[in-house]
Amino acid sequence: MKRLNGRSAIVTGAARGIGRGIVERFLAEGASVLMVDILSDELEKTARELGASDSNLQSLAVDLTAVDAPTKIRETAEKAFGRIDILVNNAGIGITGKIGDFTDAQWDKVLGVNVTAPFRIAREIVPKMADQGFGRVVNITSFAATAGQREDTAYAVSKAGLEALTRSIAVDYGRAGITCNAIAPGVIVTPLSEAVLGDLDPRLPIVQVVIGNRPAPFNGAPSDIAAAAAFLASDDARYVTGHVIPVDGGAGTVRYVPDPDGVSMKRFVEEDLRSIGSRG
Amino acid sequence: MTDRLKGKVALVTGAGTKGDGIGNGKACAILYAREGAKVVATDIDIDAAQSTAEAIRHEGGECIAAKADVSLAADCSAMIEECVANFGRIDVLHNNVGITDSGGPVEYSEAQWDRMINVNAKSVFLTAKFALPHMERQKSGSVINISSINAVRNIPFPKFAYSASKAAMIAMSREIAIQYAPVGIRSNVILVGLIKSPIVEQNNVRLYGGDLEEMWKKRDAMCPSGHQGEVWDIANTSLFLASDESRYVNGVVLPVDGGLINLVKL
Repeated sequence: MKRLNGRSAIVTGAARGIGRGIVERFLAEGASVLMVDILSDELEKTARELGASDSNLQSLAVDLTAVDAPTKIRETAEKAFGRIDILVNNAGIGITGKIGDFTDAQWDKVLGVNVTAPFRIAREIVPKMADQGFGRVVNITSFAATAGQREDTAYAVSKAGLEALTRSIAVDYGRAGITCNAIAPGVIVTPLSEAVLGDLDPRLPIVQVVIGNRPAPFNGAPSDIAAAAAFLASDDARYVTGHVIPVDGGAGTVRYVPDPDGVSMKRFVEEDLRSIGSRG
Repeated sequence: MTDRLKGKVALVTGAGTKGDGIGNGKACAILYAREGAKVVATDIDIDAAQSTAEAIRHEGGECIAAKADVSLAADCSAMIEECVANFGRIDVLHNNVGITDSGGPVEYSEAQWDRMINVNAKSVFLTAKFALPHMERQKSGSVINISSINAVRNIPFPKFAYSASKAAMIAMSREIAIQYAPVGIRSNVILVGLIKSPIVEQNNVRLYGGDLEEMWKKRDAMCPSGHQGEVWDIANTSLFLASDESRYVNGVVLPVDGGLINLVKL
């Protein structure tokens, strides 16, 4: 079933990882997609690999923090597809550090890409969606928006800001037929996360928290975020707006670090139950 | 008919609707069947469950009806055993049953409180108790718990026991989510917002002075979306949670409310 037939979408940060996963899913659901990314070579490569026709797939290499980026994005999409139904603000960057380590330039860069750019792109496109009486905005945030992580200051602040922006758009433009929601990914295996986590000793606390703390028996894939994005962009979710859907294998519901030897939670639970003799 | 639930077996509680309309449970049962699931439609009112099963079979789907009072362990056990006996497995446990009532702690009688908690909350414990061992054997399953925005907000009338029962569903869902995630079982909650459903029409109109059109108008005006939802909005979100597309979504509380709970003031 093609749930996005006839829809046109913009996906930022589309060249790889989660963004690319969303593009693939949207194409499979029948949408036309404008891929936006700062990485022009990767963008070209992805466009080639996806192999869709020009009428369904366009790409635009642009720095989202450039003053004219939102206008360029809107004009490119309108020229290619005639209208814009779906905006996915997926592009994001992270620079780690405690506030004592952060320079103004680093702070501005993270906030610029992760919050200011989605605001400016939405400002350019949401009023157009309101004119046509239909629009879907999906913002990709992070579990870092609501859970404290060490040395993640600017990233966490930016993602929390993006969640607030999500609610603001939802409340202000609901009556114009626009929904706006966020997806908060947990651990998702992408080239980027593999590069970061792959080299680390699995017994390190950070790896325990990030990977071991997820109840699901597997790591998520970009297709898991894409499935949620397709749901939010489709008519199935027309009454879902202003909310954040965690797609994290349940990590957000856990508040402890598992045993470093990898003793499963299931075994903890079974031992507990045996000790109080309440099972069966 | 498409196949997002092909090969799956779904049990929906409260799947009947009193009268001719379509309530949340019936809509979910119908949509699950349309997407290829074999469905067990249970209800305390067997005639209502039968009528849902007939509607599904009329569309070419597969469904059996069963009578169950989900506040009773024996009924919960029996309906799940009937599901497994007929269809061999249970992939989706959809806890839709809910009753509603208004009043604060002073107004509620102890009997009203007990009934509300038993039907809305204890039922999640009982259905999970008997369904989870089957899901554990299968190494897969999705539990969907239909709660309410009243679990997290008071909108707009005192519903003391109702809100308590719906909040309890969130905690139970989270417990199931964490305990059973390692064996491939997920559990999530939908917080239902204002929905133009038959049960609302029957139960809430007196809260708005008995004028049905006035009630719908006022409820529409409360929503940032400018309109209430329909039962199919709940069904479509349930379908996402029931399908493998949400395989990495677990322990989540998802409002389907047109953004209502984001508003500080109504």
